[in-house]
Amino acid sequence: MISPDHRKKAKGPLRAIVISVVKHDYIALAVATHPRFQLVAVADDSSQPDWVHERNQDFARRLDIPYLQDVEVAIETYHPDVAIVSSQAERHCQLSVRAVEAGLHIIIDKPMSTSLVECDRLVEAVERRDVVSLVWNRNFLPAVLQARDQVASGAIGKLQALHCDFYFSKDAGPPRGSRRDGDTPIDWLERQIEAHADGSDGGVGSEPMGELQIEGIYPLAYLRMLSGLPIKRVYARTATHFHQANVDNSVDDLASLTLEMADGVVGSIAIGRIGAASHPDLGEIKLHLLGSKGALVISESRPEVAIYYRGQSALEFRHQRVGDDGDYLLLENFLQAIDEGGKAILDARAGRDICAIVQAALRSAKTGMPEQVED
Amino acid sequence: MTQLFFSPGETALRDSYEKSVFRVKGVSGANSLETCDAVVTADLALARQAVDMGKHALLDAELDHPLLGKLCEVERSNANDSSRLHIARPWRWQPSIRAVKDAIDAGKLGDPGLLRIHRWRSGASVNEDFAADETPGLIQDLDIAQWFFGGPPQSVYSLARDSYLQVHLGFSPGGMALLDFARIPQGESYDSLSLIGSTGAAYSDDHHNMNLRFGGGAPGALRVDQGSLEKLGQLEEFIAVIRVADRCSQEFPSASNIATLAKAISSSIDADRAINIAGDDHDLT
Repeated sequence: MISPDHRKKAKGPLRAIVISVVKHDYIALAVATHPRFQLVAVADDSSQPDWVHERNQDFARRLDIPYLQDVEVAIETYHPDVAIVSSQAERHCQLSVRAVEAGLHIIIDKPMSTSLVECDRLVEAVERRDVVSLVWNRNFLPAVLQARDQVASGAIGKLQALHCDFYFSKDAGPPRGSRRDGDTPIDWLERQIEAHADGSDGGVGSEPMGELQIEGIYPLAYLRMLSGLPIKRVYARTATHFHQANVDNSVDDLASLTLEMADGVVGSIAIGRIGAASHPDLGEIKLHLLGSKGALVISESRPEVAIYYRGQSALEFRHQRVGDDGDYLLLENFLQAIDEGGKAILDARAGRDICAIVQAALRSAKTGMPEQVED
Repeated sequence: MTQLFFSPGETALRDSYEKSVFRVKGVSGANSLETCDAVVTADLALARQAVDMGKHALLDAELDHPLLGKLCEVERSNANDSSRLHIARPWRWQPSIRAVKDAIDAGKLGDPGLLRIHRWRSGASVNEDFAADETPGLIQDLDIAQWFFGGPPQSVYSLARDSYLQVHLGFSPGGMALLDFARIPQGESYDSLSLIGSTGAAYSDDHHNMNLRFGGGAPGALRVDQGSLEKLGQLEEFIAVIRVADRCSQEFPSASNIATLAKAISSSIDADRAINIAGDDHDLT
C-alpha cells in the first residue's frame, strides 16, 4: 500500500503560473518556496498599464522565470497546474475564471471581489470545472489554530458568541483633514501605487475600496472557520476616521458590525486601518469567544518576541511574530484538497459568501438598519 | 475641615471609603447628619433628607432600573436642590479607565472613533431577564461611552440572547461603540476596553494584566488587582465639588440621559430594529 506521503511525492511538483503580481508578492513567494510547487512563468494582459508590467517583470526577473504579456499563450506554453492571481482587486475574478476555464486550480489574493456577480461567475466556473480554489487568508496562524483546537475540543462548550477586533496599525497617506481648499482630491490608484513601497497597498486598483472590503475577509474567515456557521444578518456602522484618501474617495477606514449567525449564535467585528501610531506592532487583532461552558481570549499575534535597541526606527515593530508557518500550512491544505479531493479551507464559494456579508454591512451602514445577507 | 457622615447601618459602604477618607486632606468623619457637611450613602431616602437639609449627598448604590427611575424623578421634580445630589460613578476613577480618559482629554487619541467593551461576569444570571441582571454593568458602560464621546449617542441597535446582551451605539459625527455583556463560569470575571481615536488608541484589557501560576496542567492566569483607588478618586471629586461653591463637576452628569438610553436599548431589542435617539425621545429607524 502506498503511504500518503509516498503518493504525494509520487505526484511530483505542481507547475504554477503567476497571473499578475502587482499587489502582494508574498503569495507567489510562498508558493515558490514550497517544495511541491514550481513557478514556471508570470503572465498578464498586454493591455495593462506600464506600472503593472513593471511589477510583473520585476518579480519574474527576481525569480528567474519568463514574463509574458499574454495570459492564454502563457498557459498554453508552460502547461501550469495552478494559477496564482495577485492582480488589482477588480480583476481577481475575471483572471481567475480564465485560469479555471483552462483547467487550472487557483489561489486568489484577497479580496476575492467586491462584486457578487463576479463572485458568482467564479464559483460557477470552479464548480463546473471541478478545480480547487483557495482565497488567501490568515486562518493557519498559530493562535488562530489554537482557538480552533480549543473550540473543536469542546473546552468552552457550544459556541454562543464570537467577536473579532481586526485593527491594522498602518497609515494610508495624509491624515483626514489635511486637504486644503483648492487641493485636488487624492486619486485612489495613485495613492495605492505609492503605498506599494511600505506594503500598505492592499486596496490596489482603480476601484476605491474601504477597509471592510479590503480586509474584512480576514476576520470573517476566522469566524467562519471557528463557528462553521453562516452569517444571516448584519448591522453595521462605518466611518472615514483616519485617512484623507478614504475621505476623498468616500470609502470607510473604520467599521463596526453586529452579526447574527445561524443557530442563534451572535458576534461582532471591529475593523479599521487605524494608523501606525495607534499600536506598537502590526495592529490589535483579538478573538473573544463565548461558549456554553467557558470563554476564550486570544491574541492573534502570539507567539511573539519583543526586540528593542538603540536607534530603532519608530516604524519597526517592537514585537515580532514568530513561529508563523501559516503560509506553508495554507498551501498544504490546498494541496490536500487537490490530492485527496475536497475543498480548501477558504474556497471560492466561501469568498463569495464573505463578499455578500460585506455588501450587507455596507448596505446597513447606509440604511441604518440590520440587513439580511444575500444567499 | 469637611465633615462626612456615613449612616451607622451602612458599615460595608463606610469600610469601603474609610481608607480614602483618611487620605483626603481636610476630611473627617461626622457623628450625625445634623453636624456633617455631606453624606455618603447607598440609601436614596437618606440622601434626599440630607439634600433637604442643605447638605451635599453622594449616592453610591448599585444603579438598577428602579433606582434609575427614582433618580430621574428627583431630577425632574427638584431641579435646584438636585444639584446637591451626586450619583457616584466610581468606575470613572478606576485607574485603567481614568488613564484612557486622561489620554482623550490630553488630545493624544484625537477624535474618539470606536469604543469596544467586553464585560463578562462570572456565575449564573440570577434573573430570568438577563438584561435586567446586567443593568448596573450596562449603566456603567453606557456612562463610560457617553463620557468618552462627550455626549449621548444618536442611535442604538441591540440584541439579546440567553445570558448575553450586545449594544451597538452610533455617535455623531461617525463615532461608534460595541458593548457586550455575558456570563462565564463561576470564578473570575473579565473586562476589556479599547478606544480607537483618529490619532491614537488605548487598550485596557484584563488580558494584559494577568500573571501566571503553575501548579501542574495548564497554567492559571492571575489578574493583578487595581486596588481601591476608584473610591479615593470618587471621594476627592465629591469633596472638590463641595468646597468650591460654583464648581460644576463634569463627573456627575444626570441620570436622565442614561435612563433614556437604557429605554432605547430595550426598545431596540423588542422591536428588533435600530433606534434613533433625540433628547429624551427615541424613534424606530
